Amino acid sequence: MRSGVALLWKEWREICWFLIAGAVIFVGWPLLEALANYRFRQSFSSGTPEEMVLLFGGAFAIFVAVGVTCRDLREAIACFWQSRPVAIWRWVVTKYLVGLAVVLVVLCVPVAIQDWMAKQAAGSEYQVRQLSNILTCHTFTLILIYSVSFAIGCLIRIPVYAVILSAALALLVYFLPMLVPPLESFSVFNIIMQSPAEIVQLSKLEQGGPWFAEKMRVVKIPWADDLALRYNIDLLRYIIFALAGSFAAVVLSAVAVKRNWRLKVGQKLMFWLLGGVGMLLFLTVVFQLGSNLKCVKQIPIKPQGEGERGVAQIACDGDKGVLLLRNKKPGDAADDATYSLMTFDLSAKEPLGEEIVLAEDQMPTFSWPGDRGKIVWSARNPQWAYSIKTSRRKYEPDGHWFTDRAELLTISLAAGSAGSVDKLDLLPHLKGQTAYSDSLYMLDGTIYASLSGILFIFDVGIDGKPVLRKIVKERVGISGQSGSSDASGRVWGSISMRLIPVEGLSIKERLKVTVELSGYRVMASDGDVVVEVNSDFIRAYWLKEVSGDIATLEMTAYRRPTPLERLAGTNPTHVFVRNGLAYVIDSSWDFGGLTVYDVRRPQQIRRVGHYGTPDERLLAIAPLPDGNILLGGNKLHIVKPPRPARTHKNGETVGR
Amino acid sequence: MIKALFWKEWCEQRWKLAYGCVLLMGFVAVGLRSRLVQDDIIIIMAAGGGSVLMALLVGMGLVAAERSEGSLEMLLALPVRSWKIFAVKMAMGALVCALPIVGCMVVSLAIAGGREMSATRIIVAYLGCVAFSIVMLVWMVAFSIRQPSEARAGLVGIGVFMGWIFTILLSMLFFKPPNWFGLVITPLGILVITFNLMYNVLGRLVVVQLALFVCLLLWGAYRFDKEGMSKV
Repeated sequence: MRSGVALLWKEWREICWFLIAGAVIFVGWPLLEALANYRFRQSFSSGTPEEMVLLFGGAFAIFVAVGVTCRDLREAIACFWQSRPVAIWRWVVTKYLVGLAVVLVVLCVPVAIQDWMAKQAAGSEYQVRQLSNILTCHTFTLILIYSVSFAIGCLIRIPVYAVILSAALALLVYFLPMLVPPLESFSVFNIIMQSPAEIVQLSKLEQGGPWFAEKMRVVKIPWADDLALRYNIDLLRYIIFALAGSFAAVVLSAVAVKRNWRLKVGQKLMFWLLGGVGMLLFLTVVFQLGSNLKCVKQIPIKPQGEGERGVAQIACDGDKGVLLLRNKKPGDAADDATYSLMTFDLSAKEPLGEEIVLAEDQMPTFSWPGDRGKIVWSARNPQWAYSIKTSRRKYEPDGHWFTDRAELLTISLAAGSAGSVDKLDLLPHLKGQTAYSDSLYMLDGTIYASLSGILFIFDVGIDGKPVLRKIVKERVGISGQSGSSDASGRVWGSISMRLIPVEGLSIKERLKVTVELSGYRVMASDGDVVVEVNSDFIRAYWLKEVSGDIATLEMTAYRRPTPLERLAGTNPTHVFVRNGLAYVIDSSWDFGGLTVYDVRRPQQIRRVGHYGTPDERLLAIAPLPDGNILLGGNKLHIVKPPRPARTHKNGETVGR
Repeated sequence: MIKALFWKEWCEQRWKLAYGCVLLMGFVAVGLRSRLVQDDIIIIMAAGGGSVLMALLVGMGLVAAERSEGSLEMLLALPVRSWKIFAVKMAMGALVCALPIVGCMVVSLAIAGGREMSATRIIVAYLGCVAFSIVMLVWMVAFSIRQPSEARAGLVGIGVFMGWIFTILLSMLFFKPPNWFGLVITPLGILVITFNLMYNVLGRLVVVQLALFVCLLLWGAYRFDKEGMSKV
């Protein structure tokens, strides 16, 4: 028998048990699940291979690598092998390749079968793409982890220590790039989530891409005018990194075996190392997502029934104001929610007043959960709150929607009152136009109402009754937008905005009212700074110039969420700016809370604070006169803002 | 002599106690203080994960390490009944498993008692995990008592854990939900019942698991002074 075949046969005899064990775990388990599904749901299917390979694939690769190395590298057997007429590198490489083949067969075949089964089912395009990505990207991670563990096995030669050290390194390979933003390109999870399945794809030159198109680079094919090769730069970089790392590990293994290098380590060191890596990753997560803002006070909203009950909006002036409460019974749809008003006075011993339940025809209409500007209140007329009520109906003959109700409601807040006491009909002024959105804002006793961009201005008298002063039919709000991105992917641009044409207000006040009435975009302003947030970015604009009623805002800073922030889920619904700090409410269910960004430094937005409310959904925010922030969820939270700091430049507050 | 045995075990195991306390209590303190996720998730991760980790860590070094180093023969040559040595080892092992989890309970109560979970619920969750950790330690030691090295004892421990999961999965094939058999037959039921507060099966679980616990303890004591398995 030739020595190469003999080596292969020997390795196979030793490693076949790993293959059997791996097949039992990674194929047997999904098979059991499929059998259970078939018995109880008449569907022979399993969704576990993908999860098992992502969760335990690295562990299996480590066990195989350590298993194949440590057994043959014990003191006595290593001397035996060095005495054989076989080149060390040949023996090591055979061992490496046989082990790698077992790892790839055990971990890729179940996912490939699941991928094939998913392709047979209709409507599973997303799952197919995800599975193809796991096959394409995660396979290289497994190769890297196997290779590094193989090298560690050759160096340490004690199985339990080699497993622990390999596990620590595998944790770093999987999670450190996800947690440290500069290493984002090397995170396998990011690449799986953001890549097309193919490493390189041939496509038509003009063909645009979906949301991952910006990750693609294009190489024109000289002999085919309309064809191009597209490749994912992140994926390609990751593959090169994984293969180079694996090659280096194999070389290190061969050298370590040939020169009989050994790392002497103890049990304690190994366990502390593993624990240390785990804590390092956890602390990195906490540093990015954890709370560091202090909660001064929490005020429960009673009674808190079984359903979902929370603050939908806060209208306040100083320490006093009105809460708009949304009440939903268990199992009810969002549209079935009922609304009520509750006054509050934070300086009082009992801060919450009596609840006033709104009748069905008084309830505000929310276009989306974060829709703002539904209620206004002023300390000048504390007994009244103002709300807007619109509704639409479908005109059956042509399916056209039209507004059949648009009213400004005056609601009495007196104890025991029945709610609305006055209605101001705005429908005649719409003249057939459909109001798809509505919002209210109050400044210095004047109410501004926007119905799909048409502005109504009301004066409020001493008796609390609003009187229509002016209607502006020219649509206010954002009127134009331009943008471009530079080579590093940074986006720059400007927006133009038609300001409300009101005499007596300063430019900054006009800008503020205009921004507050922009219903569908999550924006806020403070002085000449405007901040806009959505799930993909936070942008800061600076008021550059005003020509007539048109203001030009130039983008000064831009920040994308880190991979970890994206993973945690971003669903910003409200933003509020004060003293150069942007307070953003994230209404995600699991990782929601208040996040504070420092927008004072030009060109740089920094995350400076977070207050997590993982057990409730925040939907409302308001400033308090003492500098604290009032947040509304299932209860009221009074949160201390990040401490101010001064730079050494002229003592001017420009950063922390 | 028993006191000396306790002192020996304490000297060998104390770094594991320190390791468990630093890691688990640090995790709970940082996790609860930073409000990263809901309190119950942090508590489940620390108590559930910690109970498995501590049982594996302690179980690996309790008997297999003595066999691997060849010190078990010397220990058995002492003028003490072998079951007493085994009992001292198990008692110290149980203490090392339990203390970090109890420490986590104190930290959780101090930071988040009554915040999202009531203090009673937090105490029940941690005490359930202490019970699970001790039961897992007994299972692991009983099955790995003749293993010649810590690595193989650790693998046996992982195998026992996987065996429980397989048993629950297999029981799902034969019993329609609610699958009481699957919950009661393996110690994993202790975790499930602790976190889901399913007190209606608690009686059956305690009886079955107590019977298994005593049997495994006696089986382990019986095999303690028997010759270990070969290393090859």
